[in-house]
This record gives sequence, C-alpha cells and structure tokens, in this order.
Amino acid sequence: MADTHCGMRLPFRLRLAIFLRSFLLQSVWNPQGMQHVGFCYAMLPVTNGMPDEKRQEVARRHLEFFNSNPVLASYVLGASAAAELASPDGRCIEVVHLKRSLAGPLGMAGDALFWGALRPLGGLAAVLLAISGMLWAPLVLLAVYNVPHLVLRWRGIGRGAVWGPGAARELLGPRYRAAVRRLRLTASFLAGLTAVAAIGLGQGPTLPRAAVALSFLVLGFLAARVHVPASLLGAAGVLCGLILAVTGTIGG
Amino acid sequence: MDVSTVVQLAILGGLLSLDTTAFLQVMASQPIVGGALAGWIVGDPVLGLVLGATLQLVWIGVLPVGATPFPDTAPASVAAVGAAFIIARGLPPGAWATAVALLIALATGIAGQRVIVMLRRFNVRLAELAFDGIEAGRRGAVGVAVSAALATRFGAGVLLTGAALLVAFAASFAVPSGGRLLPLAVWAAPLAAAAVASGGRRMERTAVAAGLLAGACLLFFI
Repeated sequence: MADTHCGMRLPFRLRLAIFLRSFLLQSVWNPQGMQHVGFCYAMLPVTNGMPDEKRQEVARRHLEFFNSNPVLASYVLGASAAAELASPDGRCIEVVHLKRSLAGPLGMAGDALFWGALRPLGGLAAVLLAISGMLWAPLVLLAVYNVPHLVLRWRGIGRGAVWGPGAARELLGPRYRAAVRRLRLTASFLAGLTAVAAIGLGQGPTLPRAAVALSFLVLGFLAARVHVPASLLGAAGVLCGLILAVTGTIGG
Repeated sequence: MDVSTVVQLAILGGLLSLDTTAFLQVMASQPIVGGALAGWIVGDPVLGLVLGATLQLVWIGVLPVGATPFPDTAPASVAAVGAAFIIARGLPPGAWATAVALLIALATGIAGQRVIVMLRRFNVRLAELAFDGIEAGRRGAVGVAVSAALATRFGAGVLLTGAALLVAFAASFAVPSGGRLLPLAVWAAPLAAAAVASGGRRMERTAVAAGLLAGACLLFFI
C-alpha cells in the first residue's frame, strides 16, 4: 500500500457538487453501514468521466461502512475525492485506509464543536432573547450554528483534497480544543443565567417561583444520575406548572 | 383552525423532520425554530416562540448522534403550537390548553423516537437495494435509495404532526379553555441548566454555577 497523498485542487463545479450532496450524508443512515450510502452519493460526481468499470469500483468502495461528524466528514470527502482522481498511477494513499484514519478523529472533533458547544450555546442564547420578548430570537440559533457549519463544510472539501490525511490537523490541535472549551463554558454560563432569569418572568411572588426553580434544578441533577428521559422530566414540569396555575400560586 | 392550516402545519412538521438528520442539519428542526414557524402559520408568533423555547429547554441535552435513540423534536414542536391553538378553540390558550398541548408534544417526540428507529431499519433495505444496483451497474440506484429515504422521513413527519393535531382536536372537547397562563420557563430553564451541568465536566458545572450566581445578582440588584 502506498502511503503518500496526491493533493490536488478540485475543480469548482466538482467541489460544489460534493458540497451540495454532503447535506444528504445521513439520508439513508442505518445501523449497519451508518452514513455509507450518503457518502457514496456525495462521491458519485467524482466518477464522472471515468470508465464504467472504474465507476462501479469507486461506488462499491464507498458503500462500505462510514461514520463521522456530518459536517467535518467534508474533510474526508475532499481527501477521498482527490485520492480517487489521482489513484490510477498507484502512488496515492489507499482510499479506504484514508477514510478510516480520518473518520474517527474528525467525528469526535465535530461532535464536540457542533453538538457539545454550538447547538446548546445557540439554543440557550435564542431562549434568553425569546424570554426577553424578541421575536427574531430563533435566528440567533441559526446564525451561531450555521456560520461555522457552512464555512467548515465548504472549507473541509478543499482542505481535504489538498492536504489529505494532514487536513484534519487544524481541527485536532490544542487551539481548536481550547476554542471548543471556551464555547462550552459560555453555553454552561448561559444555562445558569437563563435558569435564574426565568424566575423574574411571569406573574406571582418571586419566592414561590424561586422555590420551583430550585426544586427543578435539584430534580434535573438527580434525574440525570439515573438517566431519566428529558421528555419525562418535561411532563413533570408541565403538570407541576398546571397545578401552580390552577391553584393560583404562580402564573406564566 | 381550518383544514388548510392543519395541512400547512403537517407539511411543516414533515419538512423540519428532514433537517433532524436526513437533510441539511441546519438546526431548522430545533424546537424554538419549529415553534416560531408554526406560530407564524397559526397567526400567533409569540405563542409559537414561547412553546418552542420551552421545548428547546426541555430537550437541550438531546443529541441526534450515532445510534442513540432521540425524540423527534421537529414534529413535536410544530404539534405543540397547533395543539394549543386547536384546544383553545379561538381563545388565547390558558393553563389547561397549553399544558395539554405540551403533553401531546412530548408524547409526539417519544412516538417519533420509535418511528425513527423503524425508519432506520427500513434504511437497511434501501442500502441493500443501492448495493445491488451498483453491482448490476445501475449508478442511479444510490440516488433512488436517497430519494426513497427522504420521502419516507418526510411522510413520517407529516403523519406524526397530523396525528398529534388529531389527538388535540379530540382533546379540545374535554379540556377547558381560557384561564391563567401556564408558568413555563420557571421549571424548564432549571431543567436545562441541570442537563448542561450533568453532561459536562467540573469546568462546565462551575460555569453553570457562575451563571446562576450572575443571574441571582442581576435579579437582586435590578
């Protein structure tokens, strides 16, 4: 197996086709191959112009198991596209090995950034603005999440194609980890702030509202320890709120 | 609420459910977005935003990642707004209407979780069809599998939202309308704070505590 990556700049139209199809990476997600069909679908434009036999070989190769973060998988798509386009000379790194080596680390890096940091940060910022009465609050969530999302999705295809396995280095270093940590801490701070800000909302005296908030904070902590589903806790909150509203203790 | 609004809400639920994992993932499927859009459709954007924000807080720790089952939040948030409107029968939704609508939404999320598991099993069949197509030299088979998966996911979202609205219609005969407003953020926001702190390490827990302290200071001095 050769171990060099044949870096190349992908033609704009090909990069755009892969970018657009990458939004369907998880369309046929299944427990056996996970994102494999979506990955294969995004790679099909790469095979345009190849002989039929080669096209079939490439499609078959990319129908093998694949799982990574849906956004940062663009680095793997770019690297795989370049490797497929340059592979006839036999010098390039083997594509399957390339995918396996990138998918895991990028999956962890992407999940930490998008699911662990940006989604709660955007969601809590939007809720905080919504309870302040701003109708456009959901746009904040969309902006906080999608600016890095779209930039990294597009950039990943280009970087992956040029740098191959080395492309992920920019996302696995200490600077990236520190940035993710700062975002997570900001989201956590907002979570605490929102919990107290909610006490000041609605009708009724502050003390019973503070008691309700404190009770649900403790309940949430205890429930997390025994893995009570969030929906069940939500139902408990709704019923408690209903009792308080009907008895006239506090209102919304 | 007329039939055309119900159809619009069901289609919105289907479209937003695609965003959860199958297509885009631009967070349009998040409850606060779905709730706000549904609010615009029923003509009460504030109600949509309030119910969407509540569900956003309840499901702040839910991650649609890997093989872990997760509630289908998009049809649920659209259903919450539609259900509140249906149960209130033209009046501003009070405590009972809002509470029942939220319970219907939470149940829709759980039902959607089961539906997602079933759809993902069905996707195994679609993947096999794609593989067989490639083996037979039909490159288009992959595109067909992708289209079929999107269609089933959209259909499931439409049906889930529609079913939830139907339940709300049945409930509207039994649930009293009007009355006081239901307190929501006062219990939902602490649940979200607990979920964020429990899902993090010591640094995150410290940051949540700092947020609580900063909020308490603001509450005390303002």
